[in-house]
Amino acid sequence: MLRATLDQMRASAGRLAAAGIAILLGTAFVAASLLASATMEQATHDAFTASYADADLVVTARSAPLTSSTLADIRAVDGVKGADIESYFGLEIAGADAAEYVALAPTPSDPALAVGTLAEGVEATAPGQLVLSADVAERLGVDIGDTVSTSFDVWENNQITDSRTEQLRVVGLLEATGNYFSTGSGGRLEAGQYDEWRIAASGTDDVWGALIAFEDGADAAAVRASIEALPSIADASVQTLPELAEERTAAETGSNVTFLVVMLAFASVALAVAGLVITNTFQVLVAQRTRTLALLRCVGASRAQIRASVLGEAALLGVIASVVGLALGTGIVLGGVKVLENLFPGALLGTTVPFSWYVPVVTLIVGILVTVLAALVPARMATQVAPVAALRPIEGAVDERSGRGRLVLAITASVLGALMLAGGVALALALSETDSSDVGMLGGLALGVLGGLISLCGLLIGSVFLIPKLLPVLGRLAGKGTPARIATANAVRNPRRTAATTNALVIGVALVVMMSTGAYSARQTLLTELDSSFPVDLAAGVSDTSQEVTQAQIDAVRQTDGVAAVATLRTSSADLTLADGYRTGVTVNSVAEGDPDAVMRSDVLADLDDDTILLGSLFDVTLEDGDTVTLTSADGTERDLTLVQADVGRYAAFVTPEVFAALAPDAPVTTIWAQMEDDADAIAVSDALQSALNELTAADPEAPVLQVGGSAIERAAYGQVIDTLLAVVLGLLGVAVVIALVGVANTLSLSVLERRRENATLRAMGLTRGQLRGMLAVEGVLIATVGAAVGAIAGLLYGWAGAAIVLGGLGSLELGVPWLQLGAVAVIAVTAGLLASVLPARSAVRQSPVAALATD
Amino acid sequence: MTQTLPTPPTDQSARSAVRAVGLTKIYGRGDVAVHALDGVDVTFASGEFTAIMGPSGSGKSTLMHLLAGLDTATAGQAWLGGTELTALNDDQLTILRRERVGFVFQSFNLLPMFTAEQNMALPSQLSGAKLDKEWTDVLVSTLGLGDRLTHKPHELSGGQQQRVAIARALSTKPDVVFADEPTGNLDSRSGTEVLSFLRRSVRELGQTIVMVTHDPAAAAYADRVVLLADGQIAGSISDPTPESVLAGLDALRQPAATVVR
Ligand SMILES: Nc1ncnc2c1ncn2[C@@H]1O[C@H](COP(=O)(O)OP(=O)(O)OP(=O)(O)O)[C@@H](O)[C@H]1O
Ligand SMILES: [Mg+2]
Repeated sequence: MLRATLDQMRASAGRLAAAGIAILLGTAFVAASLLASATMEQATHDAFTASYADADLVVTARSAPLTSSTLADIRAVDGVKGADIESYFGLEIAGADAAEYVALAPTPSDPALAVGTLAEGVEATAPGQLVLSADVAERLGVDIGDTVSTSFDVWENNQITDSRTEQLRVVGLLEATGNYFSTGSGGRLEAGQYDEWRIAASGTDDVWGALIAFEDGADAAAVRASIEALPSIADASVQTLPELAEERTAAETGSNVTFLVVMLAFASVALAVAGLVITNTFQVLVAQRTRTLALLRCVGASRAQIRASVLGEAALLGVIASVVGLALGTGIVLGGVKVLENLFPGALLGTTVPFSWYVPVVTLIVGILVTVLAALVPARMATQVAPVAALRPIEGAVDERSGRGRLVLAITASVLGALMLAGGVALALALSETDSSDVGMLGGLALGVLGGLISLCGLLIGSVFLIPKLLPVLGRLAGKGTPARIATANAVRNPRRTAATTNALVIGVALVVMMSTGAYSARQTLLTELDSSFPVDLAAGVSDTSQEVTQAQIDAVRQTDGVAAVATLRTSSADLTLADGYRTGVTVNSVAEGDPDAVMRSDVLADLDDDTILLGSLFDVTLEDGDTVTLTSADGTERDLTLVQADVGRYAAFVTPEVFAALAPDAPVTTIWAQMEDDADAIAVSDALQSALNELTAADPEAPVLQVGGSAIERAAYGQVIDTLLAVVLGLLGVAVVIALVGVANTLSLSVLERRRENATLRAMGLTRGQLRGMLAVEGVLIATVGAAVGAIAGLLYGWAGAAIVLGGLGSLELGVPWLQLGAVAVIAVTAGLLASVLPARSAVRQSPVAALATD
Repeated sequence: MTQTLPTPPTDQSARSAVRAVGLTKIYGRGDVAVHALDGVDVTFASGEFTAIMGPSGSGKSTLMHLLAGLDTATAGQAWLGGTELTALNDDQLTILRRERVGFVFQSFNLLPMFTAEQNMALPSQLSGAKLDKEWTDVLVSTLGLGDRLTHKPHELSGGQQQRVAIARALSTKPDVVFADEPTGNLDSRSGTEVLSFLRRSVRELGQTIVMVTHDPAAAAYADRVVLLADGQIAGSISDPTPESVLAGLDALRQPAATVVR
């Protein structure tokens, strides 16, 4: 039986290859995730070890800081060569080229306690001397012998009492570490000066750790015991470096585990899709081997033997694919580490990829398990081949009608899941209005995720019914030509096979579109939120409201490239008296020049008329719309106005120019508002604006210095963060989509094999080679697009539901359609469908039409 | 019953539907080369029902493939009407088959996902021509397929499937219909039905049919039988009867028969 299995595998090697690729990609994903996570853990460990130099012991204070005498006590212990405080503090250091915030440490009292090696020059052994990390020095533009300046505030009793500016001379350079994982220092000061500055800048003498080096040949255990016996560190823990690194790494592992879990979640999506491809391939193989299987049964093979044969084939495929997948995953991680080391030398401290036994074991087990599990259904199918089937002609009815039970199950799951999803949304939205905590969101999310999963299962189970209904609709779009008609008919003739193929794609595409929709909606919602809380792209204003912006400044803003519209504001201080007599000072604004609608991304000013005042929030005061309030200007003019609450800033108010003119006719123009052109680059425009204003200030000493702000940069930054996260997620999900597309190609080539005779008949009857290619291309595109379309619609709904649940609490929920990603999915589906047909088409057209006349 | 030498093709070309001169097909090369056809000269007259017979491996199918433009010859020429097949490339041959040749296969070869009617319409759809409704009605009624048009192939008996296949082959009024053992997969009653229809389509509808068969009784439905042996024409029998065909075939097995050539 084993021989027969192997022979069959060899005969269908080509057909199995595509299925193998699916498993290979999935297992490579698993292996890469495991290795990457282990590498990160190793790097974290190495980084901790490196940041404690060659210390023999590390003292870490727990509940109370170490006292000032602690260090002296430790140094006095027999066998201790040296002891230093473990401390960093940051200072802004300005060099010739730049200023940078540098973490400083004291010069070690013993070389064993030196973190980082001196590359050039000498240690800082006297006040005023500074040793800098070579990379920091390069960025600052300084070298040994140069002077740098630094300034810091002096704190005492939680108050700034003084500000000091100091000069330091660079006397040495440390080897650049640039280690991404460590918190290592960027420079060193003489120990005495370090302490003085540290205490001055932090306002406290507290030290929370110390590093200790032993004399050579000292009895480590004995020294440790005497140190632990010191009363001044009774409360602190004393650990060797390996002990500490172990503990810290363990603490850090939480985040590594999260990383691993997230990666494995993506890997399991890829594996699930691969499983579908495997199931499909084996089902087709079994169908094609019906006659062989029946013959085997005729000559006495038992059901169990047939099952074992199919499962054995799957297991062997799983082994081969997983081994290659393991190699691929390992290669990816090794390559990634190489690339990282080239991009950021020293970033990984020479950490090598740790090859733990569990990486190959887990990868192989997962790969083989998925393959064998996926082959269970086809194996059952194979055992049901009756021996008499060997005697029947293979041609004839393709009876694949699916059961009623399946339909009922599919509809029930879809409807139930959809209801749960809707319930999740409703729960989240309802609770977000009454409850500020995340309970509603989390509950809604749990319900929604469960509902989403159930409805997705329903969709996948029901696709056998749905897909054959959709294909002819899409097929009509493909054209009226006979090849297109035949392609459509071919695509629907094996509903199960086609549905299984599209299911793989539905899963991948649904997740991709869901993430894109969610990200898009999140982006829209956050931007809308931003628009209403700060509706102006760019604002340049005086810092002292008695100053006035100059016309030259206004013109400079207006003429900056990328600025679409400009408006100016007048500002005045006034007193506001509420209906209940409460009186407070507010800043009153009004538009001086320009159209506010053109520069604002919200319509807060739309409610304004000569009888109203728009008022932002006041602390501890509840405002009622419609109340009459009184505004009293600096010269005592009073005006009663109807209050309208609006998001215009704390203690800020807006009135019409007419009202404003009556209250403060001479108030200065204090602010310039500008809106950017829609496609302008926020950072470039605000930089250009800033430098234009700087030039004016340099030329005209009378002009006030304007501060530039606005939501444009924030808007761009939000967008960038979301886009980056989305790109990473889509990259990870992409693997699943690629596997699904491999599945489309696989199904198509299996179908082509089955239809040798038919295709030859069509060729004999006058189908040209080009038409045959076109026919297969249409079929590939149909299958790919129907899967992508169903996946996209499901993904869109899931994305909206998810966004509503997660972002509903933010108030201004904006659901959008990510046209860009949808377009990309469509293009990829069509292209992949075309590509999927290339190889099958090549073998189909190579076949002579004479085969149509062959009898077997 | 008469056995005659094959007539030279030239003088009959006006009436000939299909014609071959020195047609040769060699499969493989060197030691393993098989001379499937070895300089065949033959003419099939228009409006005639011809059967090709001969021992297994004598090159019947090969000859048919070459004459139908399904395969390319190693040497020699073949004409379909005035068109020289041996000078055409694959796409030109495909168009020619589509417009001027019909096929009936031993295993019917209907497309399983289409109904009988749709199968019949396929050839004209492939050539983009409009289906001749009157003509198909004639075919459907002559073949007795009226109540089977909406059935899929697996819902039809073998004989019915083959009748659909014949209707499909005739639907475009091709210059010639080639049939390779059309009754090979049918019981004798269905086979008889199919053969009588093939003959009727020649007599009443004016079709030209070339049929390969092993069955002398089937060959007797033809107007003429062309005998093939070892890739060469070994004679021809006009107005064949089962007995005369059997005798002709027997003669092929005796060395003396080859002398007749
Ligand atoms: N594709 C091929 N490659 C090699 N040899 C072939 C090929 N097709 C046919 N032959 C050989 O050419 C010769 C003629 O074959 P052909 O199929 O034409 O015979 P036939 O008369 O149709 O036989 P049968 O009555 O058994 O169908 C045979 O010897 C056969 O082995
Ligand atoms: Mg033959």
